[in-house]
Amino acid sequence: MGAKNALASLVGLLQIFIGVSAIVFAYLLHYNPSYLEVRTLLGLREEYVAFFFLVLGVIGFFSIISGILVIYEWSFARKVSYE
Amino acid sequence: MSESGLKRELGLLTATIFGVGGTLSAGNFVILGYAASLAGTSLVIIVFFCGIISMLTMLSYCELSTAIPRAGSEYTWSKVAFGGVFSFLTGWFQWTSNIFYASLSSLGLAYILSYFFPLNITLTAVAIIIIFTLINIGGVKSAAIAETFITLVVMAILALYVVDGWMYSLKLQGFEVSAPKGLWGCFAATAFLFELYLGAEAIAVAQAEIRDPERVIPKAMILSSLILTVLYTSIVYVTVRVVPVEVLVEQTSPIAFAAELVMGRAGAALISGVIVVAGLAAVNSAVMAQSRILYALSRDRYLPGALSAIHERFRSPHIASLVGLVFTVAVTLVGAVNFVVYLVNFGFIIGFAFVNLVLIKLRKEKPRMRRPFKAPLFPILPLAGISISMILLLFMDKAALIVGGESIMFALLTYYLRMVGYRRLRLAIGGISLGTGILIAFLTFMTETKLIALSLPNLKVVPLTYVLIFVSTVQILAGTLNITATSPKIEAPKKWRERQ
Repeated sequence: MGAKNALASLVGLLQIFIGVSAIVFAYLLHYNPSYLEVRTLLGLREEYVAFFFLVLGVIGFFSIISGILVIYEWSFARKVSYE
Repeated sequence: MSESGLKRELGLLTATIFGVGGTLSAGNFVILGYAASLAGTSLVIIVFFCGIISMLTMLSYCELSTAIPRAGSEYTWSKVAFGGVFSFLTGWFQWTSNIFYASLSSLGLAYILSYFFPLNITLTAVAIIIIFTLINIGGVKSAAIAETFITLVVMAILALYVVDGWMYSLKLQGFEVSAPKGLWGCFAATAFLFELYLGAEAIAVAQAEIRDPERVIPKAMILSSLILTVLYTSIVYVTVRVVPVEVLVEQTSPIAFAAELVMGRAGAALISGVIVVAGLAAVNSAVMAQSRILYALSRDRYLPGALSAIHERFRSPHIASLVGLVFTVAVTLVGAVNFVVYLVNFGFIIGFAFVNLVLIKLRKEKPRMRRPFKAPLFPILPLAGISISMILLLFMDKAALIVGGESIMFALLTYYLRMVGYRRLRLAIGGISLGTGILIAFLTFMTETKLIALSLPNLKVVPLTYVLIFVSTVQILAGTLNITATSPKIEAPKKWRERQ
C-alpha cells in the first residue's frame, strides 16, 4: 500500500469517526439523557437544540458516506480486476 | 379472462359496492370528534363538499382507467404520460399513502375495540398490521365477491343507524349550523376529512376483474362516489345532531357513542362490530396495495432488485411486504391518529393532483388516444381538482407538511442515487465534504477573529477551535480525495473480449 493510499484510508476512517460522533452527539443533545445532561453541560438553550440536531445529523450522515467512499475508492476499487 | 389471467366476474353492482367498501375504513369513524372540534356542526356541509371534490378527481380516474386499462393505476398512467422521476414520485406517494392508510385503519380498529375492551391501542394496532402482513405473504386470492357481500351488510346497518338517528333527532330541538373556528376551521376540517372518500379508486385497481370495464368502470366510480357522499353526509348529520359537538370531541369512538344513545348498548355493539369487519378489509387492501406498489417500483428498477423477489412457495412479494411492515409499524407506533390522518391526506392529495396533471398532459400530447370515457368540462375540472388539492395543502397540520416535504426529499434522493450512477454520486458527496470543510474553516476564522459572534456551546474540556480546525481539515481532505479519485478502468477478461 502506497503512502497516498494509507493517508486516504486514515482520512476515511477519521471522517467516519467524525460522522458517528456527530450523530451520537446529536442524539445526546436531542434526548438529553439524565445520566449525561449535555444541554446543561454545554449551556445550550432549548430553542437551539432542533437546529444543532439537524446540522449535526446532516453532517454526520454525509461524513459517514463520504468516509466509506474514500476508503473504498482508494483501498478496494483499485484492486478490482477480473483477471 | 383478462390479460392478467383473472376471471372477469364483477358487474356494475358488485364493482360499485367494491368501490364503496374500499373507503369504509374504521379510521373514518374515529376522526369525527377532532373534525367536529375544528368545524362544529358545519361538518355536515364539509363532508358533502369533500364528496364533491372527490368526485371531480374520480372523473379523471374514469377517463384514465378506461384509456389505459393496465394494472398499477396511477403509477402506470404517470409512466405513460411522463415517465422518469414523475412516475417514480407517483409510485412513491401511492406507496407511502397506503402505508399511512394501513396504519390509520389499524389504529381506527384498535380505538373502536378499546370502546368495549381495555386494550393498549398502539400495541393492538401493531398486532393487526403484523397479522395482515403475514396473511398477505401467505398469498391472498382476490376476495372481491366476499368483500362486496360484507360491504352490503355494513351499508345496511349504517343505513339503519341513520334512520334510527333521524327518528331520534325529531325529538330534539332544531339544528343550527355552527363553525366555532370560523372559515379557517372549516378549511382545516376539509383538509382533515379528505381521506373519508379515499378508496373508491380501488375500482380502477380491480379493473382486471371487471366485466366490460370500458362501460362499467366509469359508471361504478361515479355511482360509488354518489353513494358515499350521501352515506357519509347522513351519518355525520345524525351524529352531530344527536351528540353535542363538545361531547363528541371527547369520544374515542364518536359513532359508537352516538349509536349507544340512539340504539342502546346492543346497537353500539352492532355498529362497532360491522365497522370492525369493514375495517379489517380496509387494512388488508392497504397492506396488500403497499407491497404491490413497492414490488412494481423495484421491478421497474427504481428501487433495489431484492424488493421484487417472489416467495417460492407463496408466490407473493415477501421482501416488499416485510419492508412495508417495518415502515407501517414505525408510523403506527407514533400512535397519534390525527397526525396519521394528515399524512394519509398529504399523500393522496398530491396523488390526486398528479392524476389530474396526467389527464391534462395526455389530452394535450395524445389527442387521438382511444378514450372510451371522456371527463367532461376539460380542462376546467382537472384544473379545479389540482387547485383545490393545492389549497387544501395550505390548511394541513404543519408537522405533517414537514414530514411530507421530507418524504419528497427522500424520494428524490433515492431516485437520483439509483439513476445517476456511482461516479456522479461520489463526486457529489466529495463536493459536499469539501464545501462543509471550507464552511467550518471559514466560520472558525470568523469567530476567532471576532468578526462574528456565534453562540457556540461552551466546551471547557476541549477547546472548540481545535476541534473545528481538525474537523474542517478532515472534511477538506476527504472531499478532495473523493473528487480526485479516478477508479482504474476495469477491463473485461480476455476470454470475454475474444468472444466479442
